[in-house]
Parts: sequence; C-alpha cells; structure tokens
Amino acid sequence: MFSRLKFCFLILVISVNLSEQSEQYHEELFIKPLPNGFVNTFFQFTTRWNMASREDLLHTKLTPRPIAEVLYNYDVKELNIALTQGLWRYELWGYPVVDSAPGAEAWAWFNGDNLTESHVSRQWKDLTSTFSGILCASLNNIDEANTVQPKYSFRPRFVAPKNTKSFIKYSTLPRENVCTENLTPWKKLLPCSSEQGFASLLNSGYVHNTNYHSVKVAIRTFQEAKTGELTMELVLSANLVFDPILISSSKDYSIRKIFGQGLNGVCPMSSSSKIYVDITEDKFELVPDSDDVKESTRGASTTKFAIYDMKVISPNDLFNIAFVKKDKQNLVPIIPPPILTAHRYILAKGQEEGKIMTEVTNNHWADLNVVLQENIPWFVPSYMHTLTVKNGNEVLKIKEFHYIPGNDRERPYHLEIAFTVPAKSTVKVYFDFDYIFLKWTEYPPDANHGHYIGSAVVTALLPVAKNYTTIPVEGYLFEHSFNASRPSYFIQIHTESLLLSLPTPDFSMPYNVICLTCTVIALAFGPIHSVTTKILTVDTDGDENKGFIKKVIGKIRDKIKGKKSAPKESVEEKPKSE
Amino acid sequence: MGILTDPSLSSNDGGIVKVLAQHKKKICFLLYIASLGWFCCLGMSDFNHSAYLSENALSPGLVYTEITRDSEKLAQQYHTEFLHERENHKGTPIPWILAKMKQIGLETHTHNYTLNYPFGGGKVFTGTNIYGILRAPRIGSTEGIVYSAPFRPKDSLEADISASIPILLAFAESARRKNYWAKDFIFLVTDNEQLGIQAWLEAYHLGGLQNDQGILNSGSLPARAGALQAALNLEIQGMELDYINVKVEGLNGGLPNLDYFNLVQRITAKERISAGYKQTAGKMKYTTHSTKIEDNLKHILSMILTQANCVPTGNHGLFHQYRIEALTLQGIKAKSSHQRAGVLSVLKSIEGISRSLNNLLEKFHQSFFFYILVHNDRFISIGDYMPCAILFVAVFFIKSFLMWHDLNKKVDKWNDDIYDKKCEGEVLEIHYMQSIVAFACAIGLGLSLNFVCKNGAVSEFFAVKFGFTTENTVAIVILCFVLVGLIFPFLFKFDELELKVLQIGSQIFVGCVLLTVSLLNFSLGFLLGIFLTPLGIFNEVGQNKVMKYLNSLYIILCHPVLVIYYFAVAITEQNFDNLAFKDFIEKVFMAFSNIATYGVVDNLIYGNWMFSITTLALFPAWILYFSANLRDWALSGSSRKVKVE
Repeated sequence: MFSRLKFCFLILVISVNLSEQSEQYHEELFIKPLPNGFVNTFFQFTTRWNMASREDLLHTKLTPRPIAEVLYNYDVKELNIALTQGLWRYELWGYPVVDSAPGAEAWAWFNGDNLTESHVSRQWKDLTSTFSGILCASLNNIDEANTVQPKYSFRPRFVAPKNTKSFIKYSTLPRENVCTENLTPWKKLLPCSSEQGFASLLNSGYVHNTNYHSVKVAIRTFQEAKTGELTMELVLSANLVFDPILISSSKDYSIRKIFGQGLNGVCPMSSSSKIYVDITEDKFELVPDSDDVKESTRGASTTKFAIYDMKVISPNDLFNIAFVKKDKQNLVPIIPPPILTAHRYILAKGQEEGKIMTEVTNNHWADLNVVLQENIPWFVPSYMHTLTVKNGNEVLKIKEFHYIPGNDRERPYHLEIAFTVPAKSTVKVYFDFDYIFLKWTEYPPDANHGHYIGSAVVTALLPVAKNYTTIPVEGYLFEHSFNASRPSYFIQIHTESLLLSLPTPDFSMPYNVICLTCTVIALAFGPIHSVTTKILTVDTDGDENKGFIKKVIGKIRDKIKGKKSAPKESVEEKPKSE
Repeated sequence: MGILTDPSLSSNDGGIVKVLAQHKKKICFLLYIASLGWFCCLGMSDFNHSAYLSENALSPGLVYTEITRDSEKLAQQYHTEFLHERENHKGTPIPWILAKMKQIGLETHTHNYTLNYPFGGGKVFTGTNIYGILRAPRIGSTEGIVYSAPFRPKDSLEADISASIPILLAFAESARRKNYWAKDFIFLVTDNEQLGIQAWLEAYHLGGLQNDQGILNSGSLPARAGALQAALNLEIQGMELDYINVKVEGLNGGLPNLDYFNLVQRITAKERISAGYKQTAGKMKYTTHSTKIEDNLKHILSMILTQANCVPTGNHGLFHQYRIEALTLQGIKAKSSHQRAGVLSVLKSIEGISRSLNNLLEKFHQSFFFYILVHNDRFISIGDYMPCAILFVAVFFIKSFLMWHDLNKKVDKWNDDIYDKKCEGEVLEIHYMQSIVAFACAIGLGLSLNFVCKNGAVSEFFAVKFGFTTENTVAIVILCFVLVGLIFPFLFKFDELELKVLQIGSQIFVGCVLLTVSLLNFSLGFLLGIFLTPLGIFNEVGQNKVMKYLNSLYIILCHPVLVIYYFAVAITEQNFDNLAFKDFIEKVFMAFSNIATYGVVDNLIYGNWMFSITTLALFPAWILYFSANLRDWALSGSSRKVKVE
C-alpha cells in the first residue's frame, strides 16, 4: 500500500517536473514614479507553454482551460483584449509598456488552412462572445457594424506556417465601463488567482481609485510548419496609475499604501517573480533598498532599475517597498513631452455638422512617418472628400490611403492614412461629418449622454527609445526590454475617445404622435372620403334626406337665425367629364 | 371635421368669415388687449409654477460638503497675493496664475487671441486667457465643466471682482484632492470681459477653422476636455459678501436650463447665502406667499427688459450658443460690517454645485430652456407665456387673411359682373409683379444697409476721405438709408389691388418675424409685438381720414431709427442732467451713433441678432408699411380707377 502511494507520488513529481519544463509562469511588477508625482505600476503575468502538437491544448496545467480551448477551437493565432478606464496622458506620463484605447479594445489575427472571410467573421463573433463571458464585459456587442480590418496599422506578433493567409479583425467599444466585475474574472485566469503572488495586490477597492487602469489579455502562438510544434504565450497584464495625493495626501507612498496591503509572498507556481523599480530620476529613497541595480541602455537613453527578486527576498512573507521623497521642496517639475503625441476632438457649433479633428504632434528634431487609423461608427456619416491633412497652412501629401466607407447599421467608416509629420510640428487631420437622427430604438439608454466614437490609433516607428518601455516583439518578459536597442521602436498610441451628442427625440413624443396621428386620420378619413367620392349638392328643403345629427344641427341653426331661412338656389356641382 | 366640407368657408359669404370681416377692428383690438391682459395675469400664482428639479441625477445637497477652513484661509492668502500682483503687474498677472495652477497640480495652458477691429483703420487688440485643467480620475476626458473667472484690471469702470480668481484657485486646490470627479474641470481666467470668453469658446469649438477669420482670430487650444456639460462664472466682489446675484440672461436672450438655476438656488439656500435672480440687498428669499401681483409683474418686466436687449449680462451668456448651460454668480460685497456670507460658504456652494453637476449622467435636457422667472422659486413656462405672442401674431394673420379674401371677392365680383351683366369695363386681374418687386426692394435695402454697416471698407473710406470716426460713419450710413427709405414709396406707383397685395405681404412678413423672434427670445418678441401690433391693426387701404392720420403718425413714430433715438434720449437724460439744448442734442447724437455702432460690432464679433433683426426685418417692414400708407393717401386723393360703378 505504502509503496503504491510512493509510486503515485513519484509519478506526480515527475509530471510536475515535466510540466515545469514545457509550461512556465512568470510574474513581474514594474513600478515607475512618474515625473508629475503619479506612480505607474505595471503587472505582467506570463505563461509560456511549449507543446508537441495542437492536441496538447486539451490538457492544461497553468494555462486557464477556456483560453486553451479557444485556441483549439478557433483559427485564432493572436488575440489582444484590453479593458481600460481612463486615458493614458502621454505628455505627463511618457509611454506605457502596453498601450490601449479607453473602454474595451479587441483585435485578433486569424490564420489557417482554407480560411475564408466569412469563416473569420463567424469565428470573430464567436470569439468575442466567448471572451464576453470570460471577462464579464460587453464584448458580445462587437459585430460587423463596429469591426474593421486594418491594413497598415497593426502588425502580427505571432508566427504561422508560411504560405497561409492571415486575417485581422479590430474593434473598440468606447462606451464600456471597466469595473470590479471585469477584474475578478480576469484574476481568476491566473494560476494563483489573487491568493498569493503579485495578483494579491490587485484589490478591487484600491484598483478603482486609480487615475488610469487597464487590464489586458494577450495571447499569441508560434507554430512550426514542419514539426507541428506549438508555443503558446499568454500574457495577462494590468496597468495602474495612482495619484499619491488622492490616496495618502502626501507625496510619499509605499506598495502597502497604494494597493491597500503588502505583497503576500510569491505564487508557488511561478518560475520567476520580480519587481522592477525605475530609479533613473532618483527622486525617491527606496526602503528596503535593493542591491541588484541594473542599467539598461536602449536607443541612446539609459534607464536604471532596482530589481527585487521575490523568490530570493521573501517568498512567503509579507513584503513592502516604501518610496520616500528625497527632496522635500515643493517644486513644480517641467516635463519634457514624449516624441509623438496625439489628440482628438470634435469641432462643431450646433447639431448640424461638425468636424473630427486629430492632432499628431512630433516633438523630435527629425521627421516622423506615421499611420493614422480612424474608426468612425456608422452613425457618424463622414465625408472623406473633405479630408485635410495640414501642417500649419501647408497641405501635406498622403502617402498611403486606405478607406472603406461606412454603411448604415452594417459597417463603420474605416480610414488609414500614412503621412510624414515634420520635425517639431503638429499635423492636423480633419474631415466633416453630419449629425443624424437615429431610429428611436437605436438610442442607447440615457440617450442624452451622447454617443461614443472610439479612439484613433497612431502607429509609428520611433527613432529613439526615450520614455519607451515596451517589450520587444521577440521577448516576453519585462527584462527582455533591457538593453534591447533596435534601429527603430514600434509604437502605437491612442487618442481620446469622443463623446458626440446626437440630436435626440423627445422620447415620450412617439406615443403622443401615434395617438394624435391616429385620431387625426380617423377623424379626417370619413369626410375626405365623402368629399372625394360624392357630388356635393346643397339642398334647400331636403330635411327628410338629412341624417339625424344634421337635422339637429339644422334645427339649432334655424333657431339661432330666428327661423329666417331664406330659400337658396340649388347648386349642383357636376364632375368635369369632358 | 365638418370644417372640411362646410361650404360656408369656401363660399364667399361664409359665417365665420363674415363675422370676422364685420368686426375685424374690434376683434383685432380685442386680441391685442387680450394679449396684454394675459401678460398681466402671468403675475398671478395660478398662471405660474413653483420651481422643481426635473433631473434626479442632480440631487442637490445630498452629499456633505468636504471643503474646510483651510481652503478659506488659502483663498484669503491668494487674495492678498493677487491684489499685490495686480498692483505691480500691468494686465493679467499671467505668471502668478500659471504658477499657482501648476502648484495645485493642474495641467496649465495659455490661449492668445487677436481682435482685428473691423473699423477705424485696422486697430489690433490682443489678449491672453489662462486655463488649468483638472483631469478627472474617473473619466477619459470625454466630458468637462468650466469654472471661469474674468480678470478685471484695477482701473476698470465695472465693479471690482478681485475675489473671483482667488476663490476659483482655492476651489481648484480642494477639488484636486478628491478622487470622485467624473468630469474634467477647466479653471479658466479670461481677460477683456466678454471678448476673452468668446475667443476661448470659439477656439474650443471651432479650432481656428472657421471661414470668417478676419475679425476675431481666436486660433486653437493646446488642450481640451471633451464635451462641455456646464459652466459656472464667478464675479465675486470681495471676501465678505452681502448676497449673491445669479445672472442668467445670455446672448440673444438665451437662458440656462431651469434645472441649473434651481440647483444654484437650492445649494445657496442650504449654505444660507441670500442668493437669487435680480437679488437686491433687501430682498428676502422664499416670500412668494406675501408677494403681490404688482411685485411679480415688476420682476417679470425687469427680466423682460434685460433679456430683450440680446446682450449677455455676464460671461456666462456666451456659453449658451454652444449649448453649454451656464450662469454667473455675482457676489456683492458687503457694505456694512454685517456680513451675511463669507468665503467658506461661497466655496461650499461652489463645491455643492460641482458635486451635483458631477453626478449628471446626461447633459441638461429636462426641465425648461425657455422660461421667465417670476420669483426665485416661481417661473412661467413657455406654454404659459406664448399665448401673449400668439395673440399678437394672430392679428397679422387674421388681417392678411381677410384682406386676401376681400381682394378675391372684389375681383371675382367685378369679373362676374362683366360676364353676367355685360357691364362695360376690362377684366380685372391682380398684378403681383410690382408688389413683389417692391417687397424685394425693401428687403434688398435692408440687406444692403446690413452689408454696408458691417463692411469695414466703407468706414475706412469715410475715415480717410472726411476724417469721420466709426460711430459717425455708421450713423451717417444709417441716416442715408433712412432717407432712401423715405423716398422709396415714390419710386412705385400702385393701383389699389397692388397696394393690397403689398399690404398682405407685409402683414404676413411681420407676423412671421414676430412669431420667430418671440419663440427664440420671448422678451424681445413681446416688446416688438406691443409696438408692431397696432400697425397691423390700423394698416388698411381705404379707411376714413382720422384713422389714416393716426396711422401715418404712428408709422412715423415707430420708425426703428426713431425708436433707437428715444432710447438715446432716455439714456442721455438719465446720465446727464441740466444740459443746454445744443449740448443735449450733441450728446443724444453721440449716444445714438454709439448704440448703432455697438449693435454692428456685437453682431460682427459675437453674433448678436439685434442688428440683423433691425436691418433685415424691422427696417424693410417699416418701409413697406410706410409705402402702403403713403400710396393710400395718394390713391384716395386721385379718383379711384376701380370704383367705376
């Protein structure tokens, strides 16, 4: 009996060891004190799984089952879903590790044998519906009417067998409110859930006191065409920006203060568990300090990180890092803006017509090539013949132009243009649109709040990596961004989403109108019918032929006139028959 | 529905038409009196409603205010610094305000604008607005609220409002420390009174892309905060206040949503500040039951007079054109030591208003946009006051209908006579052409007056050639056109039928103008109606001589220029006593030309309608009425062609 148990245990240990080899889980936390006193925290939970064949997807260990099933059932090779509350302020905060649009944003790459457009559309619909359930978000509202297929803006980050065609689907739901109900199911995708490890810091109550928070699910796959070997990478990331003044009304802060509790050990399933603190600015004294300080030089800008390897420091106990401001003077910092920023707004007076204006600013000393993607919902009829790209008064040349006009209730307006933003200048891109009335059932609840227009996406290759912390495409851990110098740095930034007040009907009006119209039609039908079908004859003494009511009216009229009824001529109007 | 088949209406001598035609003078006069009577009734509590909040999301005063004494102290400190800065700094103390906003933690920007003054040889004015945006933690900059405070230099003729900016900053400082804001707050300091705010709003909503770049060059803004939901303008005169006057009237008589006004009422009442519309020192709050009709009517009339001149009473008034609900809190400085409201209660009110506005999910759309305030807590809705305007307008349409009816009857009868009884004479036809030409000419005259006045080149020409000032040029241009208007009737020769057609046209024209104006700005429409309706009543071809004399006299007295002239006289009379006759005339002429020039400039810069209405509607209408009257005299003098038998 005992030996059998022992044998079982042995098998268990072996299998665990095996799984550790093929499936790895890493947790990382990146903390960066921002120049304006805010603090950016970025959690990344990475699961990487090498498997011999696709069938292995059905036997999950660290990877959540629903995600593996999605990969198994659909031809999706890369999937990104982000739920974001608030807006990333590039001017003040630099660039985030992972950028996402306000509200919900989703895009996926599909690749497979004999895949057709209609297959992809159906799979996309199924996929978003599935994730709607997994993340408790309204992703099921994604359909053909708000999905576009970017041509230039998005690049695949997966590897697929050669000679196959890839399809992309991109959609945003700017109205989506991101809340605790999304965070809880998101945390459940983690191997340790929120019990242990870095995820224990994500307390709902504190997460929603942030100025910006974004949770993201990113999946990508690498497949060898010959061997059929498959690597799956699941990255769950959360990006939170705190304002210490709102939390503790002082400029000092600590992990415990901003998250509500200290770090509760590490996740036992994890292969690595590290905290990176950006100490380039050196404004804070870290308590406890870290001995492991690394310098990363990337694209001519050097960043210093203090690294806390939690597996070594405190695998089981509560842990806290305090940030104490060194310089107590109340100085207002001058923050140099990042190289590329973008803003968008509506220009309109009244509710008849307006302009959607996107400003792309290049603060660099050299020209920058950018691709701008506009995804305008169908209820904002836009006129692309009015599209203007201007730098000051100079009209710029559009290098690439991709435009799919929208169609009411079926397809959004999708515009992608490539142009060069000259050095140290702001390019304005604008076009006209009309305000329209929708069908009265198409207004959302709280119709007078307005309709949202999703953010525009600006894509560029930056020449320098200032403020740039994105992990390179071949890497998957935060530390892979260290010293990762490249000729250029791919960046995608999002503008604000817009709130558009469409003219709204008075919603009690349809009822009134229906009642009134019915009454009027009912009352008018009889007389109009008789006028148009009968010959009018004014009768003098035909009282016998009159109806009851007319008799009564006639009598009353006679009485009023004092029974002075003068004989009238009988007039007959004959229909013209000639 | 018998109305459709009732032969009495379609035949010539129908019942209703007959009654109308018989008693038209009486009926029209009765309608006029009824309108005035209805207006007087509006003061009675049965004709107006008590105020209530329609928008539940506002829930005023539901939260405890969190602003503390520290903010009050801060405001006082800012005030001292501000006074010092204003003393030492010419113009807006931009660096000081920017520094304070940055310290608070706002995203700060400046906005420069240029005004190329359309007259007077290209004078150029520049100004700078400063604004700081508090980015709300709970939203991605899709919605915003504006808090504005105008900067007034010390030597300004207007009341000193030095406490506005310190209070604005103190509120910003306390708001910065809260995490519940769901709308971005823009704290805006403007200069040059209404010009600054107009430039800022244009820059925000038109982004320097508007076609008419010539006059106010407002450019674009470096940062925005999405769709603006509401605005609060502060004109606080001192750190110790007696009461707060809430100003609502905007450009062209626009008003903020009644919910917003009521919200301010509730919040200030909660903070125990005496506040209200046209508040005065002695006025008590919530005294509806004891107020008499006379007091109510006085209050209504004072609102009507303020609203009718189309000029905003404060910086809030320019927000309305972009459908942003806005009003001004004008804090009146305490004269005696008996102070009623301190800075803390003002700050608490602002916080209370902000928190209610912050709750708004939808923008203001409930309650009323068209109303007249009877009292702080009573109002007249559009449905209740519109009958006044409708009754006025009815006069014009009834009269024109009867004239039309009369005209057709006459022509038909004449022609029937020719056919049936073989009378001698030609077939009578109505010639519309000349009437239409006359009508078009009158409108064209108005248009050209409008164009010439607004064109800078004309005033430049006069300035260069004769050395006239802009005011004189405008006055002279107007007088020239008035002269043309006086000659106008002699250019046309109408027979009776054409004259009638012309009259019908002018009646309908004035009726339509009156209806439109009173829908958009009831006060102006009502005042116009009082003056114009008698014209409609008495204007008729072939009356007896006394009526004709009266009519002519009334028409001449009602000339738009003369009406402006009366105002000029009244203003001069009020401002200068004991002037010699010659000086008086000079002053009156100056006042007149000033009024006219302000009208033109307001129209060009702000889009004030007053000048357009006067030149495009009232002036042509007057010409038409005048012509009809004058030709009528001429016709009655000569033998009437039409009256053969």
